[in-house]
Amino acid sequence: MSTSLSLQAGIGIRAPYFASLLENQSPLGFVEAHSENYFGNSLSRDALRRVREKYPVSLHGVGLSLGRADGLDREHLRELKDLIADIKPCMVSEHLAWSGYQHRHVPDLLPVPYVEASLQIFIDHAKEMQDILGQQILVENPSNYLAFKATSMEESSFLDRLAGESGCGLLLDVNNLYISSVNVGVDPYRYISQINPAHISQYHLAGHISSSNQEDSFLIDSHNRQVSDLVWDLFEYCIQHIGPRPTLIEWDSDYPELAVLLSEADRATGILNKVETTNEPT
Amino acid sequence: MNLHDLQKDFLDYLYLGSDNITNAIEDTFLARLSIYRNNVSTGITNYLREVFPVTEKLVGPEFFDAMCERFLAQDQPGTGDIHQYGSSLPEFMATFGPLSALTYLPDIARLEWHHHRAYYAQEFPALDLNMGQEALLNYKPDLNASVFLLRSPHPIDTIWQQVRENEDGIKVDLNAGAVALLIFRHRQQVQIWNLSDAAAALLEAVKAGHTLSESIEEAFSHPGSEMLQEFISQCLQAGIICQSQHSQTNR
Repeated sequence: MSTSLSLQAGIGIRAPYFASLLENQSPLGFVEAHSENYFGNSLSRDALRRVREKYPVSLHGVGLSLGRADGLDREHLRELKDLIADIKPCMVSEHLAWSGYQHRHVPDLLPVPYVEASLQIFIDHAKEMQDILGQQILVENPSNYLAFKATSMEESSFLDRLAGESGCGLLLDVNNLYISSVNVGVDPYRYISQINPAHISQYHLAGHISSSNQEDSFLIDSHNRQVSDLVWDLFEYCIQHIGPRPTLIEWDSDYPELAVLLSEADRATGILNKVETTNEPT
Repeated sequence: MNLHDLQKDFLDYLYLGSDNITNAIEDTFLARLSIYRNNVSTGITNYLREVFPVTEKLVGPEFFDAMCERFLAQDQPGTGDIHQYGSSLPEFMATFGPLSALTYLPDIARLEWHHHRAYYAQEFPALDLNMGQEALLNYKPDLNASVFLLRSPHPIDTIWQQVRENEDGIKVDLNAGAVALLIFRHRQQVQIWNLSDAAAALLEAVKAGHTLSESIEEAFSHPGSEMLQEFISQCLQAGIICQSQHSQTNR
């Protein structure tokens, strides 16, 4: 996967921002669209085509269910391939998660146990997806809220082997990594050290919220506020130890003015260009 | 661990409330399973609220949420493309006891569903008008994929429009008579036309697979055929009537 995009961060494109982004040439390296929102020949698809004339577009899938225990939905892949042919995205990504099995789906990203059988499913499905699409995909680390009793390997090792054995790239969501560190005790620095930097082709950044009850407190991956200072710190660490990559600000509810997202993207761009990398991938 | 069983159990927990999945989760985190259930329930209800905004206004948000919860227990999304979900909500509403007095409401929901699908539908190619008049009349065209017909004994188009435009209540004569509506996408927006009986009969005949000539003949047996020529012209120009998807065998 080419990462020849400029070191200028991008934002997730959502309905409230189409008009502004089309009227003005905002200083963005790229914009990212949720693939399934543009399936079919909808009016949204027309709008995305117009956006594509002004900005590189990456496609981020939320509904394929890459980790499903049964077979991938070929019709879903056909729709995605059609969208790719139309939009010509700079990157195509999916999640280390599942969201559908047999005839039932959920609009959420569900967790997988990190065991050999799960890894083989992801390897097989990533290969199948790449064969059908004719291009590399990136797979994003999830935000974790729980752990399975059966898990036998760390998520970082799981992802690194997935990339090594399927040829896919990785999308490191720094906010998700931070959330997992708080929620299930992942050591983010060990996590980063266990992934070959050459496998990582994109970063995501987003905001989260804290939630608690009498027995428990945890973070929710809410995508409805600015990136927290601790996540910015972890992002700087990633740039130092992995290197700069195309970086995206995600915001999916309680939408602010576009200027707020542009300011977040500007901050990410500053870090991408300022922080010295000590571990440039080979 | 069998991953097929695990995924089935997880979905049974989310949609049916069964708890087999708890055996697979580390005890420390069991309470957090509810995060996923809340995400799924809220995500689907919010999606249905976007697809059926007038329905929600008519019944109120609290009733709508409770109705969606009942609906979700019966019918879950069947693909990863959420925009295909919700087609059976109008039928569910038609049999939902608390709504039995609001007989027009399922048709309002049907109108909103067709509006939603018209937005996302594929576009079939326009009809080749250079084929000559005789060939055109003997041709079996299709209705475009973004075209939907809806008949209702209630003035649902008036209700729908007033609810969208008025925050302070609506005033509709529920006995104003039946309507035949055409919902379709044209010029970057979804449009709704109130059709004459003749116009509706024409499009229903096309949809049933008749030739254009047969469809016109059928239309003329219904009231409102005076403007039929202009209507046919509009349908051809707007791509409402379009090239058959089986054109090679139908000519």
